[in-house]
Amino acid sequence: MMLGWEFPPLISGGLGVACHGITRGLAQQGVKITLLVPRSTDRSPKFLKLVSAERVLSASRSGQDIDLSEIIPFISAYIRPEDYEAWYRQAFASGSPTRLLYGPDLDYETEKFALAASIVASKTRFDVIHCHDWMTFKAGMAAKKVLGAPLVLHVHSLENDRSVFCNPRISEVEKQGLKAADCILCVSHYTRSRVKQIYKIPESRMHVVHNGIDLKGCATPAVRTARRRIQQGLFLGRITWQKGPDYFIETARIILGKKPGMRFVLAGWGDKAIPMIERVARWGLGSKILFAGFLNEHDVKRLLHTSDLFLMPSISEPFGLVALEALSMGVPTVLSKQSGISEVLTTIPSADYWDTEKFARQGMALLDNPALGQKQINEIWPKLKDMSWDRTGKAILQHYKRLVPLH
Amino acid sequence: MKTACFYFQVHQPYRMRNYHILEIGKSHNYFDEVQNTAIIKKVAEKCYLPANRTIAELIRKTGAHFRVAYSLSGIALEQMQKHAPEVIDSFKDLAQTGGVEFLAETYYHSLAAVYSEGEFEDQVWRQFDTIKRLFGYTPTIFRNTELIFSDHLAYLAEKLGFKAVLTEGTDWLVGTDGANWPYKAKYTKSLKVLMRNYRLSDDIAFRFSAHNWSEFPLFADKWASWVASTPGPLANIFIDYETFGEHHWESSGIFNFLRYLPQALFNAGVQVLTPCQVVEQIQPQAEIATSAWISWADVERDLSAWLGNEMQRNAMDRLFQLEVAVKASRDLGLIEDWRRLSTSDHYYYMSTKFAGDAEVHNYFNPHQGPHYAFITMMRILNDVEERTHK
Repeated sequence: MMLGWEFPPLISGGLGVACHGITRGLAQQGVKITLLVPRSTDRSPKFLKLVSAERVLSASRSGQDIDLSEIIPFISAYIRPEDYEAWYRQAFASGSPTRLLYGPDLDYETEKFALAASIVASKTRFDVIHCHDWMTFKAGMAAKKVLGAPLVLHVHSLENDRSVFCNPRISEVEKQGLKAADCILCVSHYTRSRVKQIYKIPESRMHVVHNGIDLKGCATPAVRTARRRIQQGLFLGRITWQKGPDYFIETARIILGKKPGMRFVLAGWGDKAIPMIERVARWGLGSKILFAGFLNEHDVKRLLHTSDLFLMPSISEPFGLVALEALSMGVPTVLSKQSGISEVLTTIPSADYWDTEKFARQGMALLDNPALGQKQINEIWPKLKDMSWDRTGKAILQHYKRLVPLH
Repeated sequence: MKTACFYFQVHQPYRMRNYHILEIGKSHNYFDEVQNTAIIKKVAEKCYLPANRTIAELIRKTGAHFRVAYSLSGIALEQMQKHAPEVIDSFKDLAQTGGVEFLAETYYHSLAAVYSEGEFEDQVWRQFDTIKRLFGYTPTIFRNTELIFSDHLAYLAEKLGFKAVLTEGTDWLVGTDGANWPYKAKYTKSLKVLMRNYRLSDDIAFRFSAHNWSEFPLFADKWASWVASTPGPLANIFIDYETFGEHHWESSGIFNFLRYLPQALFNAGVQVLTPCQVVEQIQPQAEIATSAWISWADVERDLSAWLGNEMQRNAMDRLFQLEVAVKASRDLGLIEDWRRLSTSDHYYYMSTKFAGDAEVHNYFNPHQGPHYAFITMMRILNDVEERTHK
């Protein structure tokens, strides 16, 4: 039994992508998966059984099946509780049907999800309960209570990674979950050390399982086409404290000092977007550092295709799937050292997130010498190919086997 | 004898569309054709057509003793020609009455006067030619975008051969009643300045349908008596034309107010003249000078409505930095697009003066508000820049 918070096509970021990859990887190993998510579209992939909590609850309440999934706007996985409340007030004021299904705070949502999980758990027999990040931890614990099956807790990111001022309620949920888990999987050594440091969990209880990348039939590294006239540097992700947009624009400013003909683009949106826009305007660089707003998956790919440099200056990035995506499209990349991915791709240039001078230096080296970037990508290509979700699935299955004696 | 002088502003911008980052270098389609068409049609229906009809009727009925001046931006005229040609015809009809004066302004309703003398002159002459061609009228009086004025503007207007300029009766410059006299602009040979009486103008433009106003409801004879009792020989009533039917709907009684206005003024002993008649008949007693820019916008009455924050200055600076390259391209389509981007409204949308916390901090909807206007403009200017390299 798998408990997730988002699943394609309803995704807002890396968690949904990872959940998809992990379930597919496990399915390839012959694991039968039932994935419970708060909401889903009708299209469930063939390799698993997708169950929507919303339908479980409405069915159990009224004895009939009501399909409301089409009209409900999607809630981001890592929405902050304050923002969730504002969003809820707006939905309520506008008379949106959403107000009938969601409570006024995010805690309430996770509780409801937990209720749905225990209903599902009481009806079917599962060998392992596997949950992803704090939103699903309560549900994991509830299901464990019903089933008595071992609980696997997958840490993709911590409250501590996401915000400066941690929400104590969320931290508490993380703490309880980590305590109750029979097995803790972390997406990187970086994350494992963070969990150890913050929650004092012994390292022996935790195991690292890196995420994978779907190269989608790219047998060889993408070869960058001839240099365009205007070189472009890219930021990709939520414009929030965690992703380090401040350091991105600062790096851009340094590079623009040397290369005034360049252009930088921030794709995404978030609570830091407006302060970033104002700072860029204050520098008089609004025409050099552009804001694209939130882009869909297809547009992200097209934007990567026209970019010459990807910078990921995240303050704390448990893994960093987005960097894998950039690299798989052949975009030279500089990583934050405070990321899980930098421990896997050791040959890719990296810097401490605050070291904008070093980011700029390494970025400029890649811009001045596109062959260097290409060489680095060619070098890591076997590693990328090796980092398939299939391999991730195999690794997770090993841990399952440890927990559950073979039938 | 007391004189009232009416001038109405007619302007509609080409509003920008949500220009996508991936369109840079590929699509040069910057403006929201659908929205702009819908707006010009709606305003034509609710304001321009009925107001023109009413005023033409009044001019004919009074034997052209009631008369008015219009300033029509070139891009408003363009949009009317394309989507509401009957409005152009009704302005032609007004021109035939003999009671209408047309003013000169910048074709694109821009702040070119502040940034670029060459561009300013180009835009003024284009507007001048358009008015001559459409209405057979040769403007002699100049009105700058949003009544923006300074000593520099006076110099520019006189250089182009205009007899007078209209601007705001800013309190700090002329005092409470100072707008009721014509002035001569200092540092010019003989350029005259007519200043707006903002109290009497705003009675009609803003307060007319304000139910909580102590003078509500406002009738034509009451307002005419205020004009008659104002100190000085002159009351300049300069307002947006959209006041009639758009800012105040027809149901507010604004058209009836207009219908009774000429007779009410005549009864109160007030004559009505157009700006060029005022300039000929009432001689200035004093000079006026201001090195700082003034305008009719907001309480500040300066440029802060368009250049008040860093986003606005960054965007406008960038636009005019591109001027030389755009013109050197000799690409007429590009030059036209660049000029449409100079329209003041685009920068007004970036103002954060009135944005409450809720609006600024609401990041659920990145598709509206001043920051959105700014980032969209900057994407468009990137495409403009790329086109200059071709």
